[in-house]
Amino acid sequence: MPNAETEWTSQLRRGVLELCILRLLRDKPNYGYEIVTMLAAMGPLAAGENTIYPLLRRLKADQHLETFSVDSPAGPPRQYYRLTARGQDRLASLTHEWTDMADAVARCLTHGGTP
Amino acid sequence: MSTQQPEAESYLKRFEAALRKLKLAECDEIVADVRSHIADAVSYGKPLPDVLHALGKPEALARAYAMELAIHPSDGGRIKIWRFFRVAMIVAASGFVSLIVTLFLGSIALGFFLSGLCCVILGALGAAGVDLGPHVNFGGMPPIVTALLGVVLMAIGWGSGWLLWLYARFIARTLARALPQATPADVPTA
Repeated sequence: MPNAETEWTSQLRRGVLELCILRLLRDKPNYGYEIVTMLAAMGPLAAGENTIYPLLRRLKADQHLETFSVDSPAGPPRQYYRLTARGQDRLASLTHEWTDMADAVARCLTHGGTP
Repeated sequence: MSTQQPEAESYLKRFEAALRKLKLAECDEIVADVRSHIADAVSYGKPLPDVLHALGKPEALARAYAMELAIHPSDGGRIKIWRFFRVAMIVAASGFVSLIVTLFLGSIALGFFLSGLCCVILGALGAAGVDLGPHVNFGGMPPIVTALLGVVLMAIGWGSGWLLWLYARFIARTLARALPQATPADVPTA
């Protein structure tokens, strides 16, 4: 049984991971291993491969991402993920929601229940 | 193209088999993602056993995919829409049939069993020579025959109850088969 803090952290990360992956791919397309490595370098956002790869596939199924194949010196061709127009919209709306949420939480933590 | 390491190949083979068992769409592309990941990680100098360990058991990884794709159904998924209609059809059809079947079998089960029980008790009391008063009438039959008839009625009632239980189990199983297989309990928390 995981302790409460770890479970809480992983639930929280699960929710924001989608937003962060969309943002990572906004500037340039990238492939799975790079995305995993970039997230691993971001402390609390470091999620396992078994979370990130399925999420990438789901974002593709939802047409927020699309893939294209590029030959790789490492071996088999790499699947690159790229943001679609739909993904751009999704990124904008999630960014907005996250900012609202983070502001509200910050207000709550600072002032408690007093308006 | 191959990653050329037998451990990696056997991992991918198990992974692909698990994906096919879960009937996931785009199996080949999912396997290609993981194959590239392994090749990339190894080319960056990570030992293969560590890379495979980080991915987790192939079956667990396949379930993680199934879970992610099942809780967030894709917009244009034909299979998911079909599955939705299948569940809706089963619920609608079984709801209507259940209304008739449960009423029919349920009333037979309850009515016959209770009547049979009364016949057995009263028949046995009558046969034992207990005075049951002017309102109990065996219809010309010896009380022992009434008691035996009661056993038959109880058996019919019990049989109806059994059929009702079989029906309920059949509906529950049909519905369970139509619903997605992966459940949150199947997927390890990362």
